[in-house]
Amino acid sequence: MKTRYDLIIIGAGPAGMAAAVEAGKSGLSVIVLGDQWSPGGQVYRAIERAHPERLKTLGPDYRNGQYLATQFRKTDVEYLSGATVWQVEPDGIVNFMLEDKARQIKGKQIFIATGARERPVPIPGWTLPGVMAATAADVLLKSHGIVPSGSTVLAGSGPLLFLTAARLIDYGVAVDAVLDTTPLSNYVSALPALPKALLAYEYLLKGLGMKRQIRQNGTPIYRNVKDLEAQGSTAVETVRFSSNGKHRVLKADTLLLHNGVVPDTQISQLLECKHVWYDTQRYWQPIVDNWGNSSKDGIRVIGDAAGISGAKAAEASGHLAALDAACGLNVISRKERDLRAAPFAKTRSREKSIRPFLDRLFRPAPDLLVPKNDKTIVCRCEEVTVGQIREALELGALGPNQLKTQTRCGMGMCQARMCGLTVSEIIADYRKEDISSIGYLRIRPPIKPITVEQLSELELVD
Amino acid sequence: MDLGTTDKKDHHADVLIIGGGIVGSAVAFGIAETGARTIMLDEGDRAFRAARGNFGLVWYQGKGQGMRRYQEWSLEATRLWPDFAEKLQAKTGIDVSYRKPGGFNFCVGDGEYESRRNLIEKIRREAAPEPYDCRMMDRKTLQELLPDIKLGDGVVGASYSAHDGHVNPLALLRALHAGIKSLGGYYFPGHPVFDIAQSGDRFILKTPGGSFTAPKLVIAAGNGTGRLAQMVGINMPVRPEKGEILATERTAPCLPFPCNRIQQTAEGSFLLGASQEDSGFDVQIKTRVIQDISSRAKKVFPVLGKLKIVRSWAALRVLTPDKMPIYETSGSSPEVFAIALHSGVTLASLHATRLPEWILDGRPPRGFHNFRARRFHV
Amino acid sequence: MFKRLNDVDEPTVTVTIEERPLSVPASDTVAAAMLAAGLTTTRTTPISEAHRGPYCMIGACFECLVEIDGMANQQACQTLVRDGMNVKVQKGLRDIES
Repeated sequence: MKTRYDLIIIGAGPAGMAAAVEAGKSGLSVIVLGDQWSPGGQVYRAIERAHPERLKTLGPDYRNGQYLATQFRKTDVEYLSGATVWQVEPDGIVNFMLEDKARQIKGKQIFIATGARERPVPIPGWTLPGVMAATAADVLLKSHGIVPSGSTVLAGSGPLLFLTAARLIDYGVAVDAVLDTTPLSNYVSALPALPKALLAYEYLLKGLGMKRQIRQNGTPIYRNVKDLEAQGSTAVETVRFSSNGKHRVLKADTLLLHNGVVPDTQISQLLECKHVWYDTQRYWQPIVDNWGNSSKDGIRVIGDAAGISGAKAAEASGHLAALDAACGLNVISRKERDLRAAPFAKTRSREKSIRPFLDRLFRPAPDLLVPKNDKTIVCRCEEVTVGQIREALELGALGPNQLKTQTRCGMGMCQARMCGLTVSEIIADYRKEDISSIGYLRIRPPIKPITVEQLSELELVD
Repeated sequence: MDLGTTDKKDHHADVLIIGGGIVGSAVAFGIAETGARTIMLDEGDRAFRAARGNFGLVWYQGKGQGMRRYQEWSLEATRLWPDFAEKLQAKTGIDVSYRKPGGFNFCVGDGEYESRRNLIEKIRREAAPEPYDCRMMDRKTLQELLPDIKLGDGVVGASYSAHDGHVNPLALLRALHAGIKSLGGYYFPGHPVFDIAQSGDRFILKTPGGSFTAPKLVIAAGNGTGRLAQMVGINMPVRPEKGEILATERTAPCLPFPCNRIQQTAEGSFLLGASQEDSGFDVQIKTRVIQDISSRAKKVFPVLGKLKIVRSWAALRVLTPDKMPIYETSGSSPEVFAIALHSGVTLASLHATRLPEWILDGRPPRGFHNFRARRFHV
Repeated sequence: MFKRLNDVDEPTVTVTIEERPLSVPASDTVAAAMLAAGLTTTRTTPISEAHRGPYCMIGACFECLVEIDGMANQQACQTLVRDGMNVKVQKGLRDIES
């Protein structure tokens, strides 16, 4: 490992791998830092270890990752797995942890390819053991061949909710119910975007296919679900909800929640890149141009970290960013860049055509964004409830940062990953103001914990 | 720009206070207690806010070398603190967690120890004939007072004063704000002042949310004090000094004394400081700086090495040329009072109890002229 | 409640979780091993002693903090099992020495 590189790519999912493959062709010095033990990110998790049976059941979308991973391994770039980035400075310094040691490197350009994370789903009881994000079931399945047994219920909205349910059913899990919180009005508001979505029609067919599969399995899909609540003493035991106004209770040993994915903006916020609020899907995304350039020099954001567009679009954006970087560092000409970029730009455009429809159809339900029950925990780390937040707002806290100092909300180890969006939503709702003027919690290093000793032993580049 | 929810009309007060931090709030609290109509103005969510970035030390030792009045002022402040904390709890129900177990300034290496001893002796001479209740303590005695946490090999000793303590600064600010509200005072956050004019016997302050008038104005706006005071012809030489702080994961209680650079909060986290960086208004965290803070913390208490750092922040101290407070007044009607200092937490007890007499009745505390800006020949 | 598909042959290691010796695949994370063994609680919170367990499994939520080989507050989902490892539920505040 050197200390200086042309490109530092943070993230080894489809965007990061594709960027590395493209950059590798140009002779630039590149290093990829992935925080998992093997490449693939979330969508292609454990792709290298997947045996033929698993590959078959998980389907062609997952299998696609194999080709990319193979190309990635063949590329002449450095790849560090298990590397956890804890700070990035605007001048290209990247601090990370590797094998319990803190390290620092410097890059002329930084590619943020950190992908997406789950939107928090703050319902009463969501902190009970046994209540998990749908992604967690994905990790357990792909990486460890572990599935829920006992009474299993999925709740929320979004394509991944149905995909997860279908996958679990494929693996013989008794999924007792899928509770769909998609507001009925979304079906109407999504219609205008349907024609464009037909350009990527296979996604629509897939979605319908998944729902059919779930129903054929005998798993009820409850619609228009509201008033979700997990109950139990030391673990979840039941889930309460209403569906089309009718109140119900189901037994649940495992409750998987999912309310869409949002860009992982931890690093782009840390660097104070400009972000814009994407209202349809209620998240912030960094402002980037077609080549992934953010508002900060030398910092690019690619893949889902720049806006949720899926694995294939992420791959394309990785190629585009690497081509532009090679051009900027005078390795290829503009003409060559544009020539090689054309097919990737086309792919990305096509992949993105499904988004307006999906984003509108699965726009999060308001009561899951702004929890109404005062007892619901918003900040899991510091156990701060909706009620405590409202009290602080009544005392005059204007925004998330003041709220943080008043309530400790956002001060925990997760660095607001689980509460940040909810906090901004609650404030915007309380003050009847546009959330884009409310802003987000200020993100500071370390974005992953590092010990006092590890920090004191870090060797600085300059 | 953040705006509070106001209708854009005129607001009248007996006293207007610009600055909703520890200094402004403590003054506003004291003034509201007298029954005077009090309005406190503040900026938006991402303002600099020294009030929210500090260690919460209620500190006496080591202060006031070269200005005896300041050393006495600090002592008086620590003496008033227990009653002040009780009053805040009684009025607002908020416990600011004030503790006065005494405090240490650890010395690593003989050089540091000597330096510190010299400073303490200097202040002792200046305080005479009054006693100066601060002394050096050797390593053995020091370790006996800390049975649950071992000192690093390089720690030679510390200076100790029984008057030193700490408070939860965020709880203090919350309590002051709640207190102001319960006493009938008004708080307008999101109302930065962009103009101050005089009309007859009143000041007229203009903010994006409307104008505010009063015959008395207090400027306690931290690093914004210089700019605002200039609007009324007062020169307040303040400059920002960055300090970075690290917070670790929580542990079971083991450090019952605050010290100037390491303390364990009531929740169990360790706060590690403190840097002194002259970088204008930049509040970025610098790796080199937090590395120095970590190395230092580990030298004092090696067990801290294993603790995870879970957050960091930087705040801007409000520094005057000699690092001691400036209390300035125009002395004419309409009267303006400008305050600039970096020990707002310690002095909060005095600000809430002694400054109202100065501001409302024209009775400054004894020897207050020592704190005027003219000592810098401005 | 979780179960293993057991659809692949893998080398195993022996770990002790809450005093129970378990034989688990070497590719397990501590969190996966705990869930498969029927343990959904990884810690009790310092503030209210509430039970918490893994939520995200990707290192973002910090709920899966456990004590591993005497070291407190380790993220179970980010730590691979090792032969001879000793895992305990993280109960409240850690000790400074551990």
